Amino acid sequence: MQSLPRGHLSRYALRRILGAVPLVLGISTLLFFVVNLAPGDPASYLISPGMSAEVVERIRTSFGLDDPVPVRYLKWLGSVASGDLGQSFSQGRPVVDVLASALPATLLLSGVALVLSFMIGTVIGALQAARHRTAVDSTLSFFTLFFYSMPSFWLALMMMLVFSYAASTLWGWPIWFPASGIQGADYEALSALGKLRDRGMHLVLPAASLSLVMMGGIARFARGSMLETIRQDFIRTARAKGVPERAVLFRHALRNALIPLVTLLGLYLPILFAGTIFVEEIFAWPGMGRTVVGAIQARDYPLVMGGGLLFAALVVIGNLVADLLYAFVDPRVRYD
Amino acid sequence: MSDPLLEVRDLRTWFFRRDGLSRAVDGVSFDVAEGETVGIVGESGCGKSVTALSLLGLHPSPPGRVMEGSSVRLRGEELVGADPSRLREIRGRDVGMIFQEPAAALDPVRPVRVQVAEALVVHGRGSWRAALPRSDELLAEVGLGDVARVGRAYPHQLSGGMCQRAMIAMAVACEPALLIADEPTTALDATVQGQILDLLGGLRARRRMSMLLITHDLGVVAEMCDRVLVMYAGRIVETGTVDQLLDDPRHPYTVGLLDSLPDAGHAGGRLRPIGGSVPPSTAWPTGCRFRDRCPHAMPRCRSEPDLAVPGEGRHVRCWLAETPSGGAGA
Amino acid sequence: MSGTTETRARLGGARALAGLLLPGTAQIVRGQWAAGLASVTLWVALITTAVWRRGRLIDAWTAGWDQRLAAAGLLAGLAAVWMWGWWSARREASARAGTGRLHQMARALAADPTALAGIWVVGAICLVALLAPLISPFDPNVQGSLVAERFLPPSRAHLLGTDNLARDVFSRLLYGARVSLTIGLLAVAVSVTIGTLVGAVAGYLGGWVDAVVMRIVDTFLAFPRLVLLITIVALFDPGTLLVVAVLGLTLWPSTARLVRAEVLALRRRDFILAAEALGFSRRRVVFGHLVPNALGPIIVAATLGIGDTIVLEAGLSFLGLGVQAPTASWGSMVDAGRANLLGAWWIATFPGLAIVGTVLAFNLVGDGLRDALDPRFRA
Ligand SMILES: Nc1ncnc2c1ncn2[C@@H]1O[C@H](COP(=O)(O)OP(=O)(O)O)[C@@H](O)[C@H]1O
Ligand SMILES: [Mg+2]
Repeated sequence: MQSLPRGHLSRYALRRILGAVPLVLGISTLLFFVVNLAPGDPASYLISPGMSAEVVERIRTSFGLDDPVPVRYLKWLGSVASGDLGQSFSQGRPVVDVLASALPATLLLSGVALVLSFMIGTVIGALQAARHRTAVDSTLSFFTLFFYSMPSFWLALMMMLVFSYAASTLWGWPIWFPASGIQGADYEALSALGKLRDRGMHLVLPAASLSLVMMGGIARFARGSMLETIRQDFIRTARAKGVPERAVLFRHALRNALIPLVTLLGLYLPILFAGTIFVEEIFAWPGMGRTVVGAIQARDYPLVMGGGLLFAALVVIGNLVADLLYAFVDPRVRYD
Repeated sequence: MSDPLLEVRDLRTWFFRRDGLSRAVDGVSFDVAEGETVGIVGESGCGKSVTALSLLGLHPSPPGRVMEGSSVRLRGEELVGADPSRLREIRGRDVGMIFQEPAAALDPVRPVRVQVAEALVVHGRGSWRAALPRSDELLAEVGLGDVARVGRAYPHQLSGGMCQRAMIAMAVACEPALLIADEPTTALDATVQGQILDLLGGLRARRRMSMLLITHDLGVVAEMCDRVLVMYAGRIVETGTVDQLLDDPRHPYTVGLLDSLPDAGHAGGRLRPIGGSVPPSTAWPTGCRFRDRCPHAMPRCRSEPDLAVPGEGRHVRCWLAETPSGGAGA
Repeated sequence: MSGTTETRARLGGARALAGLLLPGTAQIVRGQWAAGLASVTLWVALITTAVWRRGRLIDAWTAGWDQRLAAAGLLAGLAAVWMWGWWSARREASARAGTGRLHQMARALAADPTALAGIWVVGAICLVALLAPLISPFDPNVQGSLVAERFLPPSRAHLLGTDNLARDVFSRLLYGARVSLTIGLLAVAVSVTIGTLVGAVAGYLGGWVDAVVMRIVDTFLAFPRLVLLITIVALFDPGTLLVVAVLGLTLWPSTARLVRAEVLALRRRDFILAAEALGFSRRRVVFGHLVPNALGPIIVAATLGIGDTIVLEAGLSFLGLGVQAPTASWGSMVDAGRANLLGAWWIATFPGLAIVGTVLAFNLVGDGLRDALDPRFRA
């Protein structure tokens, strides 16, 4: 028998964080080479035909484009490590500043969507498993598959069409939701409560679009995980000792079925961020997704690389959190 | 004679599966008296576990279904078709159950003492606060003496034997009148098997429980049981007291089981395993189901004999058993 | 005795004749409903199109490649259905009972109504994509009068209305199916090939090869794929080939991980050990034994991957980074509808429904395949 204190959580966490370093290094390498091996170097977009060779040379030097690619790579890594992501061409500000101002909006939106989609998805999946092979199960199966098959950008547009435009102008519904931005024009003039309400109203459509699409996949996974759990012996034990069916499902089955769902949490982050890119673009949500799309259209290389790096870092951090959460919900995981 | 504690009549549990109809339990009848220990033996796949599970409606469903005409009575109360909430009350309170794979039978994410306490709480034996100390007492009673350490442990931190002890504590927490044990020692090491059987024997004596002990080990039967049911292919083929069955087996299947015991004094200690294996439950043979493995098979076996009655309290489902002198074991 | 053979021969002849007249009837008579109905439907659809669009069918040979391909496809399809109907009518039914794992999978699939529905829809969409030049009422890229024919709501003439450039939405929708399917299928083919190769080799060789490969796979999987995609596509010049290449080259890691896991599980099985003991070459063990046995999960993942890829491609097109204008693609059609979303809701709505329908159908087939492999969790 093992002694009960299960190693040290903090040391475990440290080891996982160190283990993520090669991953971050790999991602930044990938990003660097994608951007730098593309035809036409970053400077070519700042160079217009009329410029003298001298000016062109100066621009190239100022971007460090005279060095060979490996040297540039090392230099870039060095500056990234010191927290310097360079200067954004299109916004004329340091990339770090641009990203820092966009990050909170993205974290708000994706955080709300993540929590909503996991809560709804898990409940639906658990319900389906509890009503396995009934009409409820197959109806919900179709419903979740429907949203699972849906592109988030289209759902976002349809939401906007129905619950914002048509609801406000065409049908005159008493409640409709704003179609763009994170706050109303009169935000600063509102009371504290009014501000909260304004933010909430602006959040509804983007968060709903994002979470509905993710909810489909999560519910499908949760259903499978629940069904797998329900077949296990300890569920039979719980029934045999007279535990009410509802408690069997929620206290024993769901609690165990949640364990693999924690892993899914880590896997879903890339999907979540893909979704934010579209949803932010559509609802003019001033977050990182919109920033990155704008940067790509403006060929703002430093901002593209910085944004990509930050997205990747968020995924890596999210996976770390999921790992720690896993160790927390599953007593069988040992920290050493 | 007083009414038996448990009366099972014509129990049929069928599985409606994709690959066909499986009549896993197909007309099983037996009684368990107060304080009595009844054993069920048979090779695996004969329907022993499904029989045990069906008694309290715990068989997997779908695809399993207890068919019409089956009856299970506990102290005269019909359990087949009973209200689910009534069944739930009986489970764990009047009838406790333990299973074959103790490590898998415990919830992996909850400390053992909490799981024992839950058995008390769901039957209204006090709040969680009161149940936890009581669960420590129960764990001590089943020999998990180091309660502070073991009780707070999770199942994966305990050995198989310790898990089975915890299962037993859970099953007897509410002092049930009947304990159903489905191959409680099969998955354990030989030395641990003996300890668990001793524990069960002690508890049975102290609490005057009845027991339904499922096993494929005739040694366990000899040690623990008063009466034995031999099951083959979803049916009972022979019943009798332990002595009757071990000394004078009448059904060729029982004889075969005894002969395949390595240390059986019977039949001169020669090892003679039964040829072939249990057919899949979707394809029981017609007539006598043991027909195609039986050394004494004859044309008459194409129709199935009733559970013939050769003597007091003995039943044998074999044509040979009808003629008193012509025992199949001869 | 000779009487029955004679009857059977005559029956066979009758069936062959029926199969020749209307392909599929023979199968239906024999009780093979799915195959028979598919043949009949396909046959009727093709014949109807041929008769209805006979003018275009004839003109096709002098028109562009699109039209020529569609016309050739229609004729080839007709011939194939015909020959298959005739051939299978002559065969005895018993000759069909295959026993391999893939055969079993196919049979389980045929017994699953939702998966069958998915197959039907996928088949119909493929047909529409192939025949788009013949059946579409308008040229998808020709603009009508910007004054009179812009933003027309759905009507008899324009079934799904017209868009901001006065083009027929329905026709563009039909042509859009070609883009989605081609890119989806090609990109998945590329990624599954690479993923299978890499995963099988890594799983079989183990050691440092495996370690390095899995590091790379982890890196790809941790990176938000869409960010990578839009970065690459935006930096190079967008176009169909690039989209296929980029989608294919970023999807392989998940296949590689799956195949590796399968190979690791299979490696320990007896028949692989036996093959190794017999001294088979590594290549033969991997591609002759390991990969074929991992084929089931690979097919499932590929089918589900087609749906994901179609959504991704639509997303790229929506951002203007996919297939370039004026070629119709569902994603860019949705994008075109953004500008006048309330006034001309049909422009964005219908292509989106087409995406959902197509992806849903592929996912139904994928789910059916997975259940056929592992029947535990059937709905
Ligand atoms: N969940 C189930 N689904 C379908 N068939 C089952 C199920 N459980 C048991 N069976 C069938 O019932 C038969 C008897 O099983 P069981 O009672 O477990 O045998 P035993 O306990 O005697 O070894 C098995 O052969 C199997 O075919
Ligand atoms: Mg059993």
